[in-house]
Amino acid sequence: MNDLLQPGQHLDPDQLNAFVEGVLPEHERRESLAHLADCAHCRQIVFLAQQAQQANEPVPVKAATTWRDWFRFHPLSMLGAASAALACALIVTVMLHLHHIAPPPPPATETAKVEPVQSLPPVAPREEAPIAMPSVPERPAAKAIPPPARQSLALSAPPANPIQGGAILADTSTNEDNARVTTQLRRAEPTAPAPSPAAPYIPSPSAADALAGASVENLPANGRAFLSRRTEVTGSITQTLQAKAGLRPLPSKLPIATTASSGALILAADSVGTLFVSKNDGEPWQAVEQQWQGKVVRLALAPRAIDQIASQKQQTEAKNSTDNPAVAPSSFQLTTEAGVIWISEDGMHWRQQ
Amino acid sequence: MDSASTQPVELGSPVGTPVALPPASTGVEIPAALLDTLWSEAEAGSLELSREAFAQKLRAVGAKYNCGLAPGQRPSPTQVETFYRALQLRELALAHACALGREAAWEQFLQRFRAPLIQAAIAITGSSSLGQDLADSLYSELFGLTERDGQRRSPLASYSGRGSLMGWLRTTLAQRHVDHHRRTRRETPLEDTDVAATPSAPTPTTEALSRLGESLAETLRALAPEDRFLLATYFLDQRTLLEISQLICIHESTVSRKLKHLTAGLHRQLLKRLQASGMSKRAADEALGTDPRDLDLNLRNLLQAPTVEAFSNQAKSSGTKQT
Repeated sequence: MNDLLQPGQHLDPDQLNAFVEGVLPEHERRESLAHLADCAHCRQIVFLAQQAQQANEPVPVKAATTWRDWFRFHPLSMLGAASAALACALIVTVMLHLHHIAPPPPPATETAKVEPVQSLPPVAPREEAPIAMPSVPERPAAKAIPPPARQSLALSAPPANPIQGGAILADTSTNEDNARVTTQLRRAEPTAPAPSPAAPYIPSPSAADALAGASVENLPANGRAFLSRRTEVTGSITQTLQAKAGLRPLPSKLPIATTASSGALILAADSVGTLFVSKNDGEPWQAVEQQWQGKVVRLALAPRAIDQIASQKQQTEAKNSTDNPAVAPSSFQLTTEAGVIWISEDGMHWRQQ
Repeated sequence: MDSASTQPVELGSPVGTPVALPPASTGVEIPAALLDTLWSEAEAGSLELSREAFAQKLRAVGAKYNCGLAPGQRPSPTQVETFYRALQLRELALAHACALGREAAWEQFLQRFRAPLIQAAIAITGSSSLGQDLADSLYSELFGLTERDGQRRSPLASYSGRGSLMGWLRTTLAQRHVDHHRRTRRETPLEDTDVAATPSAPTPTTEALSRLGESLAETLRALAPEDRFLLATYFLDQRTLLEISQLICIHESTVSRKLKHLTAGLHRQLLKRLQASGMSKRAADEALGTDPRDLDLNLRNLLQAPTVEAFSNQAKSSGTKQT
């Protein structure tokens, strides 16, 4: 078609029209453009033709965007897709990086967070001051109760000072021989020493909880409880929610409100105050005939029993014996809702103090 | 160079008279099956256009444009078929049948294009009466009332079918209008109408002006054809960005950006050339601030100087050209 473009000649209307309508091949378009750059006459013609075309033909209204338009190839759409992919990759990279530099979760034996706390049953308040734990004989054949709530606890990083801010803390300990693993909730006190992550176990005597009269704490509605487990080396009671959850259910099918144990002998009162006793760590339970007025609100070991347990533990440690399942007799005491205290040695027969 | 032409470019025949067709051997070979398909799609039978007449036209078009390929390339059968299928077959058959003087074709042509032709002419001339005159003039020309060498000629024979027939008619109308305008009006050079302004700055020396003129001419000559087209349409023809963008099918903002880059690039090139000719940077900057009226330059001629290199290999003359 090169004979169409000669120096000093103009493009014919067919060529100009093809240029205006954009149907020329690329090489012809370049040549036509070069000619138009030099020829004002042909430029005038193409602009006039274009003007007439626009005057006679209505401006096409762009159709509404359909879903097909989203998938139609377009250089700008490809650019947008590439930008979106780059942004996504950047976000994922940042998230992975943040995940990498985040502090590792605390060891399972340190602290754990429990929420929601509203599901915890209300329990009586107890004293906060830890009591120096007397040496008690170790219970050789004590059965370790697995902490059922541990799996459900959300692990969290240990706070710098876990006893600040009124958080409820609990001491934690690992299983030891002849030890019963229970969990204890305790409201943190500003004056209490902060446990270090390296030594997460606070040897607070569980018997002191019994003496204090309560081992669980009412939790604030919006509070968070940091739980830790502690080894009960005394073989006495440490009543916690988790310990309750580890026991077999009571025949009344009601939740355990309070419990006390001495060796394999366990007393438990349900939420309506009915007392049950078990001589074999909760199986089977046997209902205790009610000899008092009102319902039982609290179970504990008598002070004399604590002394006995402490001395028994000392003897056991001295002998380093693990095959002695015997547990010295001890006294239980229960408190009714009227505040009357009853005493029993076997859990079945009670007398008013 | 801007000589206008109203000569038809292909031979036609008066209506109702036999036409001497070119030999069938000149052109691209079209397979018989493809030819049958094209002939059916063009509905050439209803236009009293025989299969052989339509085939000759197709061959001529294919040979003229080398089936859309660059010169020197040999089209493959697939490329031949693609080229022919991309043509406006119905309009090509209609135009060719009209050029051959087929009665049925003219009836159809008048029915389809008579009114649009007048509207286009009015749009081009901006006047109803002038537009009507222009349309009538072209219509008579299309009908083949013009004779050359004893034969009637119709411009419709030059329609190749690559664009729309209506577009071809519009372009032909525009060409006739421009030709008429140039014949009837005397072109007055801009230099005569310019009023010399009082020089506000000291006039550079003659040597500096000479260097500036030479550098400017070299810089403009070095531009690509498309760049020169943009500069010419925008600065010489005073076309709007919208008009330019619609013509070359790029966005208006792209045209604006290209023009901005072009002018900035021209400024840099001029500075370089002036410095290369021995001027200091400061002197070159001052020279670029020269009042254009001090320059003995015709920017229109510089910008529109034909690129000889682009056409050096196109020395062949053709009877289809307008002079």
